[in-house]
Amino acid sequence: MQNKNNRGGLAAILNESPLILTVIAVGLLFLLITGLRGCSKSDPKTPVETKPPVVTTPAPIETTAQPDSQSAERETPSQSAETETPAQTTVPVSTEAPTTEAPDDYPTGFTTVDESYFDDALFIGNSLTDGLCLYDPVGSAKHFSAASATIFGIMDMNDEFYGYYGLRALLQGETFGKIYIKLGINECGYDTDQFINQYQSVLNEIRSYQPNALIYIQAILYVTQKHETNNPVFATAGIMEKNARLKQLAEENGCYFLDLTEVYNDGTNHMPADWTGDGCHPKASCYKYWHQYLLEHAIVDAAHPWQSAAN
Amino acid sequence: MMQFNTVAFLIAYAVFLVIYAFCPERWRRYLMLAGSVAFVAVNSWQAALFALLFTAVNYLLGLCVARTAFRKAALGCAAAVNVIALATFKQLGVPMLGLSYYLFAFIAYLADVARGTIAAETDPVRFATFTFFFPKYIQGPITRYGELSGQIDRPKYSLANIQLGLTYFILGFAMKILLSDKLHVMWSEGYYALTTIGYDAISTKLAWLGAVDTSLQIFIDWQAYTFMAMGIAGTLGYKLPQNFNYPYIARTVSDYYRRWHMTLTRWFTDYVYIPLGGSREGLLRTIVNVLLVWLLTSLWHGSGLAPKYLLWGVAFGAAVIADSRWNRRINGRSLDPDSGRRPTIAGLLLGHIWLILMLPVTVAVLWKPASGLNFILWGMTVGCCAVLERLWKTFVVQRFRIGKRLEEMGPIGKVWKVFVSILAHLWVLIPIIVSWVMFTIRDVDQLAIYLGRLFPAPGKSAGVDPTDFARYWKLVGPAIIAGVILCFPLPETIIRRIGKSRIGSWVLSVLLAALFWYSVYVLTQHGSDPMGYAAF
Repeated sequence: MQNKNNRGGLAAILNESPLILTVIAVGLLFLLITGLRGCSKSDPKTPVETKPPVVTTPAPIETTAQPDSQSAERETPSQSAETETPAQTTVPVSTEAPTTEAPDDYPTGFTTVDESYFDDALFIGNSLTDGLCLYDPVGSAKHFSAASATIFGIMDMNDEFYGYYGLRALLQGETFGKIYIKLGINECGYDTDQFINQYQSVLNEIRSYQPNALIYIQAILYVTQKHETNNPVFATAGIMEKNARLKQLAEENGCYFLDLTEVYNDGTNHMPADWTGDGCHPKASCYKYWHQYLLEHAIVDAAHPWQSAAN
Repeated sequence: MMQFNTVAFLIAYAVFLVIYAFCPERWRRYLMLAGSVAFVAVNSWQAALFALLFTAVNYLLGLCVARTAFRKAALGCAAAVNVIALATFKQLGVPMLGLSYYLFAFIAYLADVARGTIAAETDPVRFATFTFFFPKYIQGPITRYGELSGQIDRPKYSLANIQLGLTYFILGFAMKILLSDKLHVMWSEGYYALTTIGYDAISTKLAWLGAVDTSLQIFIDWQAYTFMAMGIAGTLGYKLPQNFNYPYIARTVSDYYRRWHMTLTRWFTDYVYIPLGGSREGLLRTIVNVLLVWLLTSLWHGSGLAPKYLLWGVAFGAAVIADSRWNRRINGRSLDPDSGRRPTIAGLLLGHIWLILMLPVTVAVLWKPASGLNFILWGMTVGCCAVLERLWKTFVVQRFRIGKRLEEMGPIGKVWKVFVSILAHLWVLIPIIVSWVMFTIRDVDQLAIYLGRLFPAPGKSAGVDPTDFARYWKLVGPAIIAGVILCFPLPETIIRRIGKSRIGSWVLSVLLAALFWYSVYVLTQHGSDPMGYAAF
């Protein structure tokens, strides 16, 4: 078979091996289509993203915006007695109302509740929230979560929950007593300032739809040592930095910071290796620690009363 | 890494095809060698160096074995060199691309030379081309020297073979990217892996879905690689031996492993099982030989091969030789089936005393390896099924002449045959699927948990999440169905038949081209998992 490069070659190829030609032809067609469409959009499944995010709200938010959302909450007299009762009972206790300055012993007055506390709660988040609501749901709380959710995209996600398309519709259509937010692991590749600024604008928007709700900001969890070694973007140092800023954000906005890293910690500020299968998500049987933490770290005050159904 | 399922390889392969086409015929063997060495070196220069070293050593060993009068001893030493090399690398835990595959091939070559089946190779270029032959370098098929060496100087390079070769390459490529990788999500270390949920929390339905999924994934991964290897070889004018023959439609476990990784089975049969005596030394020895072959297969997969295994291997070899001689002395004529005498039980026990003594030694040596116990469980499961089959055949089917009776039963016999056929498939599939779970889950404690989910106590089959099976079916269901369809030979048969006619060939070519570029697109978007067996 020596005369492939002869004139009869093309005819021979057409006859006996059309695949050579079709592959080239379809390939050129493909290139043409791709070229005409511009750069093909890539759909990052892995959470590592280093290009700057598309911020949909005007940024950065100045502190002048805060008193608006805060004053709406302070319309109800909540400056009642500052009795600090031990966080053991399920009787409503009064706590100091949130102010723009962080009180000395912030956060104050976490108390232990039971499942019914969460019946009017909404959990917003990513795959971790998915996991909680799937494997160890709290009360009959609702959730708006998806595996790929980030603080940059959460408000624009069009997923349907409870008959509402998107988070805005859900927040406008229902009233929640508490809103729990947990986002951040998918944004580890982003700059902390960008992340916090976007978080602030999301908080503002949520507050505008739900002025009376208690808002809890949940810490970003650490990953296992092995996962950190293989994926340095999830380094504990970076997560700690973001969590510290989240705590500050909560204080500044009258929200409550839940430090879940107290629980999901093997002593070296990493996720315990036997609590997870893939290094960053707890196993189904290990969401109970989060569940328990939520039960033991609830805010009940005069503005947000709650009584156990058992009483 | 430049495995077949990477863009880098596609580009290199396309360039190579063009150069090969314009290369004068008599230089193609050098081009093949150069291209193959380059392929290995780009993947790992250390692997290339070691391959070169072993090639040189075995080239010389081959010549020595051919020239000496003490063939058996020479073969033993030469084979031992390769076995020790293999064990050393396994023990060190250093992955060396292609090592297992070419060392097996060298042992086969040396044995064939010693037996006189082939002449020792005197042309170093041909010998090196055999080793480095890039379509089969990474993962086999394990080729006999005679099968490939003759082709090296006279490949059947033609447009028709290019068409067929590219067809298989594209089919394999698409299977890998679009199907195997999709099936793998349940078992790779990602968000959707079952290990993320935790095996203790999944429902029994989901556990079985996972078991079927991994069984299909391992097969499709192998089938895809095999098609790609065959395809590439075909476009260059070479024919590689068949490696998989639709194993999941087998009706006996013995048939199954003659269809699965056929060249490895062939290697173990020709160079381990038959030298040990095969089935010619009585039922007990046959059982031992079968189990030993499976044990060796398991040890090969496990990477923690301590030197004690080599010593044990030597001891076992000595026990086998002693067993043949001793058994003959003790039981003598009663071993002859025509003598009308049968060995007594006491006679058998005494006759096989060396093997019986090896049993506790084996258990002591094997228990408990630092790693690889799951592979031993995997191998022993399949091995025991094979042994049980032999026993069934000997003591039930042959004795009661079941085949003949079914024939004599007429139409009712036909119904029974169908029923028996279904049972046969279940007999093969259920243990094989469970054995693949043992193969996949390396941690034995985790494996125990998973087996507990596959076979739960009554009432305990639910998982933490009642929707888990439904969610996963949405995720992998279509891939599973596609995989099951590809377990049957019909799709391949149809494709080949379509390809024979002129119009069919064109239609097929357009479809394959589209399939190819779509797969490339998916590859660039999501990447692809490395080939499953390249690490062994």
